[in-house]
Amino acid sequence: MARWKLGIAAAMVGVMGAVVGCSGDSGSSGESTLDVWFNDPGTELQPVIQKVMSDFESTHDNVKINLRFVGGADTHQQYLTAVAGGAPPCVAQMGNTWTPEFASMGALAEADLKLDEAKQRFVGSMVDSATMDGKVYGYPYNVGNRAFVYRKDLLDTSGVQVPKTWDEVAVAARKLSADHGADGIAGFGLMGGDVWQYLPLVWNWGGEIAVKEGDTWRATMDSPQAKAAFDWYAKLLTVDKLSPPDSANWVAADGTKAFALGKVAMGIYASFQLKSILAQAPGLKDKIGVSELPTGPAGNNDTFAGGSNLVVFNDCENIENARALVRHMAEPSNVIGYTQGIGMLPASLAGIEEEQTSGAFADPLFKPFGDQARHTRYVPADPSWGKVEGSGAIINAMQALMGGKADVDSTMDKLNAEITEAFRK
Amino acid sequence: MTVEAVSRRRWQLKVIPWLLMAPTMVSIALVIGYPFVRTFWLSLHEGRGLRTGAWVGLDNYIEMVTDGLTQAAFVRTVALTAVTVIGSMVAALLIALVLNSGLPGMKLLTILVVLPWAMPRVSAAILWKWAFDSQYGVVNWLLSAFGLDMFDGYGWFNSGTSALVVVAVAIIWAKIPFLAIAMLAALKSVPGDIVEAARLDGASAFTVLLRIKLPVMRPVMVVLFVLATIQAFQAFDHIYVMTVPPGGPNHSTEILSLLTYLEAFAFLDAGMGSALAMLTFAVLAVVTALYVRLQREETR
Repeated sequence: MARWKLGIAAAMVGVMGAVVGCSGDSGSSGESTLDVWFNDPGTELQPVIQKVMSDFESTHDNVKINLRFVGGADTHQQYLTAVAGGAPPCVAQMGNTWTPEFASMGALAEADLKLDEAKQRFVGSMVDSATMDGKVYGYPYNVGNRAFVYRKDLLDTSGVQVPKTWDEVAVAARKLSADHGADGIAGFGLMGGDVWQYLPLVWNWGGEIAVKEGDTWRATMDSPQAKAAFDWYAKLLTVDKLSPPDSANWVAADGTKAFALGKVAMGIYASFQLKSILAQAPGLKDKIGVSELPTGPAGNNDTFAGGSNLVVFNDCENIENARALVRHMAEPSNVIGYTQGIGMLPASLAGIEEEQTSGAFADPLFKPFGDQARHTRYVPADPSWGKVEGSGAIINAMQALMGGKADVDSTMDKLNAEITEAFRK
Repeated sequence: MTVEAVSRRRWQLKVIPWLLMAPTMVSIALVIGYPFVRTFWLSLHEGRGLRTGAWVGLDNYIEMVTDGLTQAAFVRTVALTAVTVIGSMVAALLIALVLNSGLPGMKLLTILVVLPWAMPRVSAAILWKWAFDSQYGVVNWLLSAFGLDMFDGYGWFNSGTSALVVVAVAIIWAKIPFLAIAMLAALKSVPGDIVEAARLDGASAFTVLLRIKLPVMRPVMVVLFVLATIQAFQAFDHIYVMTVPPGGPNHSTEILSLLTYLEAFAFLDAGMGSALAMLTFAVLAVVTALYVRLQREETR
């Protein structure tokens, strides 16, 4: 019932927009305005985005871009409200975990990009995030992923090699904690409040977060692999005590701060977090090493890819101009100014290549992030995934295990039931 | 005056007050009445993101009262309310007594006491979280400096109980300025001659406080108590900012307002979110009724 209401609202706004557009057009040059929403990258980078927009305007006489920087905790709500009210922007830079949700609402226009072509040009996990039922709903724009970051100096003094598997990580971390614990240094930086630290381990252990059956997703966090992966991570705290007890509550910012303060020997960090560590503690630059993530028992080291896609909303009056703008924005040369500023990579393979050979990711400290980007996956593309993340269910489960009292089987079964319920609604 | 004129006058007396009240009543109906009815209506439906789902009758309410997490959150909300209201009232009274003591420097101290009031609560919550950080927090550093070694590296946010202690401290700190200033104003209204007479009769400072000052302050104290309770019941920002994930670790700091938010905006289940909001409303309605009644008794 509400769907037709949405449709009517959208149609009404469309008609009104058309009327307004016509009145603006009459007598003038027929200029059209494209509303663009872009995640606020901060005052330093805003001019970079503004320049990409003005470059487009200078080659398209009839287009005027109305750029708005959005951000804050209620950004998701702003998009939902705009769609429900039938007045979304024409083009938006949208987080990859939100793309399936808005695509399934019918809010997004299909991109002028076929799936095969997309897979050849962009990081696979980012294409997955923009794909629904074989159709692509966004141009992958930027990608950010984690890699293994360690202190070369501490590993050297302990005579420890850079670990290649998660089992080796545990052994190395115990040695590092024993050798440097007196200085308050943790062997491995655990972060109970950051799902991206341990959720990908499920893949490394050979499990899946959820599997698609027909049109729906079924959560599989109760599989033996998922249970083993979560149990392994929690025991690094409860049994091995490789991090301070408080790390059960650490979010990425806490883990980053601890590494920058020299209190962590090894950890899982994203490129933009490493950038922040180096800014906070420039003295650590020569002491840090970075490698691809270690592999798990299943033989892969896949991790999650964060990032964003450029999408066009169905309610846009001038979809052709909007698509042209998206193609322009997604050009590697137009992406790099932004991604370098925020310490991430372009989502196009050509862009990553360029960055790794002559750009910011040519630095040996950052090159492994580009290699790791090719071994990334996407969370279940269920429109409800945002709910799973937002509810804190996964973090609560890990914290229950890290508390040392909860039983793995019942905790993971409960988590699986919660995710299943979120998918169902 | 003719009969007609009298009846017209009567009619005017009946109608005019309603006409005068109409704009306010319409506004109240729009900004309070409609959201209330709508929330109640939503609470009888399944939540489906932005859309209203299927009619489920009282299912949301039944699930709410039988759910262990909601029960725990309710008990926690009541406990946190009791601790923060009593804690802040007692602390504010002590501070108000000091400020009223007439000692030199009290004007400056009054200004200082008001300062926390000017601080945005979210910023204050972030600072408190830092102060209680296990590794770099000033609180652990101070406590261990005083020889309490167990607080060296103590993780305040590792368990629900200790995390709620920190949250309670932050809430009490934020509440004190308003309460202290209001109590100071009430203390100033205590007639000096009565206090002096009691002193001459040999009453101790404590007796004066208990027998003279507090009874005079009672009406103000009742109002403050009720307002503080309503405010405490709605505490949200501190827990949202200070705990990871909000209400964590592992659900151990979830309170009603936070659960309402999580259901409505994280799980996008407006039905359950509305049912929880109705529960909060019911509790606060009782408190408010109590307030109105006490106020009526005071004015009699």
